[in-house]
Amino acid sequence: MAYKRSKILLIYCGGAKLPTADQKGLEKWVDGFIEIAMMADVKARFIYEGPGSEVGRDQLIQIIREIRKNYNKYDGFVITHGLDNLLLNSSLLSFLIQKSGKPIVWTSAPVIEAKMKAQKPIKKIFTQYQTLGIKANLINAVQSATIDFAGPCMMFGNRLLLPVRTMQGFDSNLNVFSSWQISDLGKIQFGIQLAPHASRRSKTKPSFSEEYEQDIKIIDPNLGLTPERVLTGEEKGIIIKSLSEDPEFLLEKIDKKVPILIYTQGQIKDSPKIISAQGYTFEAAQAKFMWAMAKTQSTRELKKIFKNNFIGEI
Amino acid sequence: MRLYYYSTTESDIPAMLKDAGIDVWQKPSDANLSLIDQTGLSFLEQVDGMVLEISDPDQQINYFLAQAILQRKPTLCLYKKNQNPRQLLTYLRNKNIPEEIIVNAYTSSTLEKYAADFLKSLGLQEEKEETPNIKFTLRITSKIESYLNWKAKHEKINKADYIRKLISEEINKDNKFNQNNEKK
Repeated sequence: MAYKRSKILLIYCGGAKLPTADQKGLEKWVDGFIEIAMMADVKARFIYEGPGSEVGRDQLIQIIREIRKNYNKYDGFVITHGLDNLLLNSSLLSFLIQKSGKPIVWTSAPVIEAKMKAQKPIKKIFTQYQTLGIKANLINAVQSATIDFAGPCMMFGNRLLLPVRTMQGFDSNLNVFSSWQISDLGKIQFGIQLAPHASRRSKTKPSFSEEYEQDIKIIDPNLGLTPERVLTGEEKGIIIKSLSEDPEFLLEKIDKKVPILIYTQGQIKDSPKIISAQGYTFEAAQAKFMWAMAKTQSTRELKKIFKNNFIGEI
Repeated sequence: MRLYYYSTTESDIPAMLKDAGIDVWQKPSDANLSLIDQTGLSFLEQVDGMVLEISDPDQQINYFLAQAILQRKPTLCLYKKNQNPRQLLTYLRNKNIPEEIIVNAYTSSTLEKYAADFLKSLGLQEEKEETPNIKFTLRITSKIESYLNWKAKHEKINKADYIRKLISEEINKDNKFNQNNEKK
């Protein structure tokens, strides 16, 4: 008996080398990608071609609108994106599209320099994988979008990860990302094995929002991003990323009229003037701050939001 | 020689492959899962090829085939002659499918031949078809004799077979010899 093929919407936001950087080029590329055509009925939408660092508000809003418009027509969604900012943007969209009863799978091309530390026999295999570019990850991403799984995830290497609990590292293998403080949502070994805590498909109606605050500055002394260099006085919010256990010395240099989120590895003194991002990955903290700032500018209200768990971010 | 076998239905194919001396994997625990976890590489890196019974395909078969096509992993796709997987065959007959993907409609009388042809394409059958029939006298030391006796007892292999196996392995590793043979 023939099984029912899934319908997948592939939203292209970078990561491959298309014949032309437009819808026609994408369709031609997908037509030649027989592997995914074999796995599912895949339709493609072109949003953007270029590095992940350049994916901005326009592209993110388009992604949200594509998923919203087509939510009932497809069984799952795959989004391609350059490696840079993949964590931040997938985390941000996890807040902007909540309670999805279908999978929304983010993926990208393997890291160019993953072979740096690899042993000789594995180096050869890695080189082969790198020339396959995004295709290897995309096959796994499409497969992830067909199974009994729901919500946002990232498919990279052989891991299925929750974006708001994922950290980036540069190891000697193709698993550039790893889960932080939880186990992976799933693993690709022979097919995809989902973890017990992975959400399953449901008929719940997702919520869609396009509102988030962009004008947030990041102070990171480790990168030379000091208050004097970064702040203009026009920003709506500030994130302090500091390895220091007590970033008080930075706070003294900042005009505290806007909400300030502190991301640090150490303990910080609770204060009505700051919001703590302890227990978060940096990208999840940043994404949640951007999302929450569209709802309120009150530090007191933001503190409450950051103490609450909305999508598994803490 | 190691192959991965998958099917949605019961079949004699894995038993037939095992009888031919093939190491057949059929479940995740057969693989080195920690290597997959550590490196992120596909399980296909640990096998020489795949055999898929595709008479009644499911999502998993399509997924394995997609991986095999992308990586050009030798794969034998078998389906019963009276049970065409039409939609899948449409894709498998595409001109862009690599030559490493072999598709055969089989009956009980042709199955063994298709399997043997596939194994031959992987380089396995050549050696098995050769029967040792050249007499060769080799004088050995008592130390070597002692070792051969011990090896034969512990590995349950006769001494002559063991020596032939050692030499065959050396032949496979000897690139200069193999290149020279190809030129002839």
